[in-house]
Amino acid sequence: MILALVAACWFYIFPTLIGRAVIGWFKQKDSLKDFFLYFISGSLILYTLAIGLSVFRLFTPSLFYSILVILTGVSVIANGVISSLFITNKHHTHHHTLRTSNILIYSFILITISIISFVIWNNDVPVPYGLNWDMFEHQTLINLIQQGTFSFKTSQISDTFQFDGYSSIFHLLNAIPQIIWHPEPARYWWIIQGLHLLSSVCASFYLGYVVTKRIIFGFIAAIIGAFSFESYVAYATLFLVPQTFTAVCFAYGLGMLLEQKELLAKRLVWILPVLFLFLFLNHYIIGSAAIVLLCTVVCLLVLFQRWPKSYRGIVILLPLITFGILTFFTRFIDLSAINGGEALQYVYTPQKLFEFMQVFFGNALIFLGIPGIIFSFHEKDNKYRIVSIAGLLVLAVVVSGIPYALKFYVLGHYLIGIVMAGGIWLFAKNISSKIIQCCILLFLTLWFSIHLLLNAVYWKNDIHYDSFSTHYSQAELDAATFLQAYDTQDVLLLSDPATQYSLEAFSGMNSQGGAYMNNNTRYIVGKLFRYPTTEELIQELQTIQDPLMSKSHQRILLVMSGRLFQWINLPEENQQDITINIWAPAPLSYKQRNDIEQFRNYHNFNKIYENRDLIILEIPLTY
Amino acid sequence: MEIHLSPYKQIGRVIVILILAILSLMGQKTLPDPSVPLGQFTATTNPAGIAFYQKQPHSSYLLSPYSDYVVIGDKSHSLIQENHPESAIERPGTTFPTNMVQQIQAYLGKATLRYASLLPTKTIYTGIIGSNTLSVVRTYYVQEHSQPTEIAATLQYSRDDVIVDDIGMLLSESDDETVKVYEQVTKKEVLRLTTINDRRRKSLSKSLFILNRRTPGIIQIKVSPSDYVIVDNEQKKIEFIDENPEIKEKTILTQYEIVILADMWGSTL
Repeated sequence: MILALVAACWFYIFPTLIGRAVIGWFKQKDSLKDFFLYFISGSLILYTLAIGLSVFRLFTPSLFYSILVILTGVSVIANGVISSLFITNKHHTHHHTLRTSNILIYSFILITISIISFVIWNNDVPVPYGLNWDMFEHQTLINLIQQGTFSFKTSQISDTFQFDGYSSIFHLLNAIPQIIWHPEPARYWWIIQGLHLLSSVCASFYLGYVVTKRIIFGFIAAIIGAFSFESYVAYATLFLVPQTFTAVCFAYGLGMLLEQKELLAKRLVWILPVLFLFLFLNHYIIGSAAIVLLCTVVCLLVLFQRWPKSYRGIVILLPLITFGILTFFTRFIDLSAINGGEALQYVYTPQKLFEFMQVFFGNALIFLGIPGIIFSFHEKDNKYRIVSIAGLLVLAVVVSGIPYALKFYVLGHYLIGIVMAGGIWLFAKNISSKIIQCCILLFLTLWFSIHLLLNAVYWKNDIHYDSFSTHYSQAELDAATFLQAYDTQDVLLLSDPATQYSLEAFSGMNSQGGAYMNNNTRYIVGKLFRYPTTEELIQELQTIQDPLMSKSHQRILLVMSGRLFQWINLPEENQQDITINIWAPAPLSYKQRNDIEQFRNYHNFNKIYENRDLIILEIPLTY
Repeated sequence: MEIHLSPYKQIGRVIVILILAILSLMGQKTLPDPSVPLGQFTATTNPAGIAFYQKQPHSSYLLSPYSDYVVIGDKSHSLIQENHPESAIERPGTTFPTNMVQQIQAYLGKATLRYASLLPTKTIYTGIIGSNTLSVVRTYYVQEHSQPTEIAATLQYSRDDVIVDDIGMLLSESDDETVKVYEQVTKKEVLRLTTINDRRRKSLSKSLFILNRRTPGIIQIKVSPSDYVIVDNEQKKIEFIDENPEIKEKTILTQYEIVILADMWGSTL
């Protein structure tokens, strides 16, 4: 567990050390926001290094490990020297000490808020269980990077990725701590998602503070941000995936931009391109949207400086025009042609979106959003107003009916959170009593805790495994440990999409497509028990091919799990549907074990592993 | 410039925030019947009663007024009126505060499942869930001028279920393989008696076991001391019958407990 904690922290620390070791020489002192710059710069440096090694075919596990060890040593020394140079500045030291006490108190409050939110969501998800379904595919990619397979394109690393929605930077950054510290992946993800939540809560606080210059507003935004979890499609806070990571970096970037006293400050000339590149590499679509939003914010800052009274019209008109244009163009998009028709599944009616909103946070968006917009007319500083407009723009995109639009709400989480905080602030701003202010913060925590709690009950309703809510079981983790020690040469893992998705992630053993297995594989697994002869079965199994494997596999490890039987019982059209999975693990029943025994005896396959939830059979394809 | 409000106005603003919170929470989308883990099963209420199930075929069980009955005079009546209006069924989740309490209980894994039928008379089913136990209390409100001579609680069981009582008597149709494993694990011999009425087998035992090869986990039912058990093999229904039920304050209380025991199948292989 300690290794997992250290590794999860290393995800943030190591790029920061690298970034500071490079940029720190050009600075006189550190401010808190500099650490974000160090982090993104360091991340880009590490990614460039990995790409460089890959281009020259030098990306091997041993060499990359050695380079990381050397970089760690060099960056620690460089950071030590930089810190000592900063400390010699007396003025800076004094200033720093004064702020440290405040920072500690604020950090303590923000950590407490994050822990409460994390515990509410994970009350029945103890270590090492998890609810982040996408984590499996990311861990699969991380495993392959650790094994020395690296490319800019995710689809060239694993066939689980059939669509390049992002570069491999997110995976490299997660692979580095795993290469150095070797944590158990399930524990690593459990902890790093807690840290991601903390970073997200801090981002909400920072943005709230920047737009109003009031600490209490920052805390209101942090509380709303911590307990508002978009549990469908967006997942901003509690799941760490490329889109949520991009969004949290966007929030820090936006805060930094709004904090600039001069729009055309020199530092922005190099900060913005670095930030834009980082956002884009982390998620092409969400990153691009983030870049557009940041550019819009810059334009609005200029506009409001020149024409201060134009804001009233813009607040209302800009989101409406955006909505109108997008809705008009959506009518001409052939949704069935996008991403194999999957886009059709991600177009939501306004009623469905309203329902999602009510799952996420009841009517809070309405009852706090409207006062929040009213507050934007009262607030003298333009920054809150600009964030409100950006938030409304995101909402306009979300309700416009374009496919995957709800994903953009991952950015909206931070902006709309500020608008909702404005809704509270409209009523709380003139309350002078500190006690009442504290009571309001505590009450807000309770109020939004209930929203999160009810959201959790709703979302987890159908993914029970014993008394837990989880996408994988301890039995599957044990099986993955067994598979790690197994000879992985010329072997392909095969099961239902969910089982092989989870086992591939935790064992590192290759499967055809994980949860995104192709139609042929789905068809073969679906009628596994119906092949009359072993020859026919093996002939069919030989047709399963992973296009990224350099040589074809000679053996198949067939994992027969409780999930597999549930999946086989689905109608064929559901088996072919990549959006339908058996989300929770299931133990094998006696009858299922019997069926497996009969299947095994009939075909004369070897049983190599067995536990409560699954039995693994070895099938040689050279029959 | 900050405006300083009078204490009354400050309190007024706090009240506004409270009202906003209530309005916000009232809009929270919740499930009418949240499901709660019950050992390897999941328990929930549904339009027919209180159910517990697994995501396997033929592994759901139902406690329901549609199959429970009361005998008044010579006639047996279902506990819910035929062709009843929708309003004759009451489930939590209809009102904001009770729904919220139920959801929070479900979150804590200690949900109280509640289901009531209101016609022809009120019958309330309350299921309290522990980690692997479901304690059911059924309260039947006796109609005026009626004297029930017998009242039965029922449990619909599934195809392939094998039912054995605690002395090892087989009450359902046999499934030799399931029985063999049960004997192997419990080291008890199952008695396959041929009774006069094979369709409706009777047991005075206070504990039953339901075994199913398709279902991980074994269901144990602890029967109320005043009841005896009939297993109806045709209708696939277990009846817990109370003859001469005690009427207290115009109600008849029936209690039984369902315990989900750990999976015995895995240990046999």
